Amino acid sequence: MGNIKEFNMLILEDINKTYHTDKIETIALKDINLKVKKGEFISIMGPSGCGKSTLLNIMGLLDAPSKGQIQISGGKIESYQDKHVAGLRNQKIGFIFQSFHLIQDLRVIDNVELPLLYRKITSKERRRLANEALAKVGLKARTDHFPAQLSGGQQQRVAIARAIVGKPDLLLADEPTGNLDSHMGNEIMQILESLNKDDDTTIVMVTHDDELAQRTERIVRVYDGQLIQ
Amino acid sequence: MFKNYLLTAWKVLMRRKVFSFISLFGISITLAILLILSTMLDNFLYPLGPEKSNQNFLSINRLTITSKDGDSNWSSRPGYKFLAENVARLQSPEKMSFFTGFKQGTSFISGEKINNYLRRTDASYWQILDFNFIKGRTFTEEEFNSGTMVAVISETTAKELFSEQDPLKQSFVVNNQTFQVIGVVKDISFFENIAFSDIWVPYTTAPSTSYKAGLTSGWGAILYHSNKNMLKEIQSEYINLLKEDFISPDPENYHTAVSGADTPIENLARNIINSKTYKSDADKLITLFIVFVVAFMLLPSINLINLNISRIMERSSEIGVRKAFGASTSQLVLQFIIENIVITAIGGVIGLLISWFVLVQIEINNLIPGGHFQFSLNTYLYGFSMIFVFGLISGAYPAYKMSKLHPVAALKGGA
Repeated sequence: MGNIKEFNMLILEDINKTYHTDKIETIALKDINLKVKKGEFISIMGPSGCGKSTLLNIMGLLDAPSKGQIQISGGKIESYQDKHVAGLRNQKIGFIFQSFHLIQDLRVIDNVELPLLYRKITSKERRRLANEALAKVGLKARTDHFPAQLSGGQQQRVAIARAIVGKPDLLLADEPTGNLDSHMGNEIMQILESLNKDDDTTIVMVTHDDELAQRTERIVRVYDGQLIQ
Repeated sequence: MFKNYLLTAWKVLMRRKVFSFISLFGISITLAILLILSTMLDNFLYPLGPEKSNQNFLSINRLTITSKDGDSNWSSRPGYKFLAENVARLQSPEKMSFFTGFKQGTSFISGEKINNYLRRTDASYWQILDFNFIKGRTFTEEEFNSGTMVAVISETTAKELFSEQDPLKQSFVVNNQTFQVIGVVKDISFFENIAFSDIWVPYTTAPSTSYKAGLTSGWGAILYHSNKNMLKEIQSEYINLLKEDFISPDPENYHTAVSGADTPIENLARNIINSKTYKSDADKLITLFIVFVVAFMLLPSINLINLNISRIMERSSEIGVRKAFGASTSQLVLQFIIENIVITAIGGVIGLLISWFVLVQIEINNLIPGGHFQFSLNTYLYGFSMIFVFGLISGAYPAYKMSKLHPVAALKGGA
């Protein structure tokens, strides 16, 4: 295990992000340097508006940095062209959002299959992988339900199944328990922990909850767009 | 993947039933109207009845005569005198026929007044047009030359005049003249305006010879050639004849004659645009038609574009999620356009059914006499290309807008 952890799954080098609105320049992130090892489970903490989500979006290739370089599983991100990053997101990254973001019109199983639609996989294989992912989050019996028929905790479990169905290198969770009560939050945390331990999944989680953060291997604090380690 | 698109399209449609209904209704009605019009046009341009050989003949049914000083002009159907003294001199047609327009013919059957259409023709009319005889025959050259009082009547007219009796050799009176029935033909569609009538008799049976003096009165002519490539030559020979060798009974008052030997579309154009030149302005008519169709389709398209844009904003979270999980912009645009084509196709099929229903009603109730409106392959082609263009027009702009949506913004739920 120790050897594997030497490999850096994610490297951020001198990441800066500035937003320009008319005449005002807002600095969202400043000189961020961060390495996340393979199989590591880290949490990012900080007050609202400090840039946590921006940082997570940049890690997830949803947003391009104004300056700096990112490496994911050893590969530098050379281009932020839509097609290029879309493919990388699909292959390497799984997202879990605070508000689940399930597609209400689709059944649980179809929601979970979504990332695989953008890969060259037969529908049979898609179905198999989606069932496997749902089994991991303990929702195998709910495949034909619609999101609205599930509790918040169950919906977040579906979202986790969707995030892991493509077996990504990196799982990014943006306050995954933020919309849930502590009991359900704990359930979700347990699933993430077991994914980390059993499957050696690398997880970066943004959270406000100190208690949950303490359960991860490392806490990275962001304040005013800068890292305080 | 494709199945997934169809599924989403259906779900999207069902999510906002009222809006979907309104937008589908707009599409259906628009397409239905366009399909009805194009079926009629198709029936006119490619008739199935006696005029089915219309690729091999030209018709002359409009003539404009201008006085020498240019102060007065007459525009109407040509008269017999014009045809006999001018058109008859053409060398290039293999056959030609002169005939009157259809006029009212009144008969009385046991005291009851019956109105029919009556047309007076020559004998070659029956050789150029391909009438479907149920019984009997048409009149011969001899019968025509001698002015024999014989008539061909339509199936419906036969029933009106003689009920269930065999109409052949029976006599009947129309416009105070007595004719003997020698043939019965299937009813003719109103759209075949050269062939259309209920009763046809030799024009030599006219009650007086006054028709021979008319330069402009309700006559028409068709010019036939078995090789349709020769029609162009006939057209130019005709125009040259009018320009250089027009025989006029009164060169002061009737100085120049402008007319054209027209194909069906040119004929339609000359009548609608009322061209007073040698050209029929068919190109103008086609342009007008295209402008009309586009303008007509634009309205429901704009409606659908609007609806689609608000739908996209509603679905921004879905778009964000799809982008986050690896959908490229082009995949999303494709998904959206496919969705839209599916939705318009549903509207299109409904439109197709509506137009079919309307055309059947028109036919059953005989709103357009003798009209047979079959949905031809052409109609389906028009229909489906219209649906496709429709889906594309109304899907493309919203899809473009969607592609501009940043994934982070989309996940936050808005532009």
